[in-house]
Amino acid sequence: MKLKSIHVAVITLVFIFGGIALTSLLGMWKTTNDKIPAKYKDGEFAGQYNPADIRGSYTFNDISNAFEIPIEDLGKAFGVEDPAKYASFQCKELESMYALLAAEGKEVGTGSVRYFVALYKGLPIEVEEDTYLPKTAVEILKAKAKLTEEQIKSIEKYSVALPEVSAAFSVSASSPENATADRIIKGSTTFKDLMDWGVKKEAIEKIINDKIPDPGKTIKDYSSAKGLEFSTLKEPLQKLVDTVKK
Amino acid sequence: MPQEMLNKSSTPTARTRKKTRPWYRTAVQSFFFILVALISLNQILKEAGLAIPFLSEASLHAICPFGGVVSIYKFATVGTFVQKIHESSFILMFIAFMLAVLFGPVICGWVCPFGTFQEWVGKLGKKIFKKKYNQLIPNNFDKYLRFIRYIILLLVIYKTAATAKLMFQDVDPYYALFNFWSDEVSVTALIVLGVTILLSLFVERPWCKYACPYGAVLGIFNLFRVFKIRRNSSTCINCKACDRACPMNISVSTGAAVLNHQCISCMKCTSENTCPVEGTVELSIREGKNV
Ligand code: SF4
Repeated sequence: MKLKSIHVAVITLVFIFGGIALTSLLGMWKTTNDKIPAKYKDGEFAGQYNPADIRGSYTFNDISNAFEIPIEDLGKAFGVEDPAKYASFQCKELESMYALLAAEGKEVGTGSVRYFVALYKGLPIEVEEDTYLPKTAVEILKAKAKLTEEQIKSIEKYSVALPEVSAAFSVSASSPENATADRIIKGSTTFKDLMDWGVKKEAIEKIINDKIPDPGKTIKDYSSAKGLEFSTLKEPLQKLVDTVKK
Repeated sequence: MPQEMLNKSSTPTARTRKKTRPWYRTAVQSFFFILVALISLNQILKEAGLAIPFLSEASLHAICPFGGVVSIYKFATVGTFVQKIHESSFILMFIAFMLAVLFGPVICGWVCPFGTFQEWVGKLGKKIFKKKYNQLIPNNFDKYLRFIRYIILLLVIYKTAATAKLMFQDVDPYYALFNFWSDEVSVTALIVLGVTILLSLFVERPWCKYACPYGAVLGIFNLFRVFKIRRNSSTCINCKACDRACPMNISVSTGAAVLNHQCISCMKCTSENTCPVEGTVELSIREGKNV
């Protein structure tokens, strides 16, 4: 069998564009990473990725790529035990991992990752009152980031020791009070979850001062859509959940 | 000896004809060069909100199959890609491998815009140096230099695996050529681009021959590709036109099939393009002895 250049030309084009078309149909063709945070629009940091836009679905690999932070630092900072899981670990997993700490008012979750990344890269960020960092994260920041005296004091104050964290996680996994412990409003909590926990629709609507748009929508997404801080709705709704528990 | 005499004396039955060189390869090369240039330009237009409709808004990294190659280690160990590389690079890497199994490095000879660019610069070199062009480096020395690209390949794979970043971008003249306006391009890459342009005036495709790590990967397929460049020694008139036509200085006339790791499947040596005797140098499946 002999081929001429016209055959090679056609076969090459068919392979390349046919392959692209086929994988697009199968949903495999991706030329961008949809896990890219927004950039600062203006000011000194214009054009740089804004850690405040890190979402719960971002993996440590996404964050490492966007902010050029070694993945080991992220994994170790947040107490992920298996290094093989560093890359695929999603920020939102922290919220269930440290659920009991959140019940104590010390939240280690996506907000903590945002805070860690901002400090690591020397970028500005606003953090919520109850956002804590694991002690391991604080140590990494002290060793690798350029921190002011004030920042060091602040992260030391808002730090939780890892043994505490692990104990809390193991308790949350085995405690018979799990059902109660789980009723904590997190980034992934939807309006439907609240209603399933026994909170009345009307009571929720009174707090949000609006009709529930779609019960499947997360409270966090609803807050951002309305231009509100998550904590503005989370706190009164959590109180509501706690009253139902009692 | 004049060529007609050679034709008459050595192969009285072989049919020779005047060449009308096929334009398909030039067309495919120009198409990919323009496509990649537009995709690169689209990156700036996208930021200005003026993206060209129906044209990919992908970055050059996302459409480079070599990105897939350097990601293999990370993908195999942690299931993710190195920085700036996406699924598309992996898919293109597989397509390029499938084509290479069939025809060898067609991606180098027909698609790679940087190879095309060097060929275009080389046309100017040919005007300056005439027959001396692409013959300036002594073969004894040159044949060893051709293995440098494998050392570069190993270095790039090692560095990328160790850092999980696209280390090659810092020296990549292809990226520099299509993004020279961007501050993402390192000075080193611009210097490598400048040196490559300069060398292209003396040597055909210097980057491909001596430095391209992706060419090194695809070159390996020449050893076992299905369709090979084969020479029929019974009709060959030993005029060596094929050797002179080969941009990679391969001695096509001394064997029955080209197995050289540097072949880019450009088909310039074939009877369709250069060989004056029909059916003598062809891309075919037929078995034969190797070069
Ligand atoms: S001229 Fe022939 S041998 Fe030389 S690179 Fe092209 S196809 Fe390969």
